[in-house]
Amino acid sequence: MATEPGTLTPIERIRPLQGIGGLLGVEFRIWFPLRAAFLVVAGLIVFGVMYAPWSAAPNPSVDPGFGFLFFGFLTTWSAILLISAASLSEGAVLGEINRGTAGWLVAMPIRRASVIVAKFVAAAAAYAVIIVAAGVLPYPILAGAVNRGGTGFRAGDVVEVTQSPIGMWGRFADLPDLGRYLGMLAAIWATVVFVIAVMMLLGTVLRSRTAVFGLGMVLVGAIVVSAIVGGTSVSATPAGAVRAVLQIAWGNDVALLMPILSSLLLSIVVLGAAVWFFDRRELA
Amino acid sequence: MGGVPVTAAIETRSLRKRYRRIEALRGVDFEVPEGSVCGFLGPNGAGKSTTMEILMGLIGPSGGWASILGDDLDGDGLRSRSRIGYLPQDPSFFPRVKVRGIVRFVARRYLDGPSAALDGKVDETLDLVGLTDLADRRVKALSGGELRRLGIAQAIIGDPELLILDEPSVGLDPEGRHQVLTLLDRLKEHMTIFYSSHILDDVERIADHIVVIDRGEIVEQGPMDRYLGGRGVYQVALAGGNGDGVLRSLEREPWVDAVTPLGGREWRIETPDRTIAESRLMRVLVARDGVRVVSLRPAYRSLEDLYMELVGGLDGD
Repeated sequence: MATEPGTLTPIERIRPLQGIGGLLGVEFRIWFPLRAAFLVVAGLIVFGVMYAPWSAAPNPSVDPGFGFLFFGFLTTWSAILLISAASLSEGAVLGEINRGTAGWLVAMPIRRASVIVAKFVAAAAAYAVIIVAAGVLPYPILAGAVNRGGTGFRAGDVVEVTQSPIGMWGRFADLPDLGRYLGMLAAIWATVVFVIAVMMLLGTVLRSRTAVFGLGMVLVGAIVVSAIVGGTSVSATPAGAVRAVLQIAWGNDVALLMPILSSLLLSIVVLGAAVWFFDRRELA
Repeated sequence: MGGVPVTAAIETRSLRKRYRRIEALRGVDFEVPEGSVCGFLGPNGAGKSTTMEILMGLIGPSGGWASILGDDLDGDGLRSRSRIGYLPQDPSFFPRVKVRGIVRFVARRYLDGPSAALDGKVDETLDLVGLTDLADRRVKALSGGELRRLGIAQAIIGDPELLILDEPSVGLDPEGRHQVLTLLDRLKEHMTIFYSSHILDDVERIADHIVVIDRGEIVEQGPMDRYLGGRGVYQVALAGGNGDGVLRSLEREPWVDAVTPLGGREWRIETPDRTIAESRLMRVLVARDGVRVVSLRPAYRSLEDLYMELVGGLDGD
């Protein structure tokens, strides 16, 4: 039946992810601009204050006496991103359930899966923007510093060259090319995405936000520790993605694709479990 | 209904809900006829909200069966939910979003069409519930009564066929309560309304059907007329003039069943039809010179009387 222009008609088509459009709009407004901007600025401050060429003091015992804390920046920033992902996703599902807004949403013609998927997609997209925005800017600064300083280091050269403001000597390996650097950022993002998916799952299963947060922190700790001590046995896991980033920053040549793909695949499996549990969760 | 079968907007059979050791619903059976305004009554903890939450798919039943607008609860219920407006007992919305934004968000879930038409609909609905002045206020800054009005606005914005309201008048001042009742009175022409309330006067005023639940079981259900009937019983006190003459002439009226003296100058008048009685009684009483009506009050059974008989008392709120 033709509808008069300008009139409203009831929505009758039911889609697999019914209602996700509106929910994504709401979730994006939670992440953008303030929350995302805060994390970008935090990343840049960490770089600018602790690891940029103008902050890092040269090690007088090492010639040529100029360097930067490329490895230090990536480890610190990865940790900040993982911890922030766990902290900011802690109440995403359980907070909505406890407040009653989850019940309000699913009493409308909105699929329960849409609520979880919208939260996940928005958070994953926000971290992609945050990681690109705060991660790409240091690259030309570091590259410029290498060219100006003329260190002549090759991949694999690991020398203690700088001292950070907190008094730690950093290790330096030559900056990888931009494509590989972006691959490292993708690996960090894939790990963050996995943490977000796990936080969604915990929010659908547990009843205490403290428990969700606590387990999230345990997960982040486990990823970091496994990345450091896990060796090649963790390469097809999110810890393997972090390990690959650190290895490349250290000057070793390791594959990035496998840990990235396996982390994303695991995230999808975990997200599926979150949807399954949320579908059965009582929301009153 | 002229022999046309009345279909049920809501139907439940042996609906049960158990929370560990507590049996919240113990085999609930009831029907809400399509096109009715059905008051859902019961003390606190009787199972009203639990029943509504099961109907809305927020919680799952432990057993039994329910159908809402022809859709079994076994399915995802999306098709029926697109035809239902719901106000929970404690409505909760995105706290940082403005009132207009919430209503618009809900409208988009139910209605398709150009933005201008949608905005017009949102404005119209906000006006209907008296929230026009607060349209640009954030939800977190609303009072309890304002939040409930917003809850009603978002429940009706999609032009639902069925409106499920859990205590719509709670937290409203007398004016707000009056507005809600007037609104429901207007909406009942277009949709089935199923609402729970502790305010029995409100239910008596607009409901044409009641379901009473107590301790997780339905104790009574049916059309309001079946319980309260159309029969009118009044108690009248007269002063001055020839009161006995007035009452004798009243006895002769075809719409009066009985006139019983109660002592002093008070009488009890029984009529088979309350509507006719209320339009004619006062006219007959004041028709004689010198007779003054000191008091005239209904003495028939109210919904509160019925409720007290069924449930054994109000629960204090």
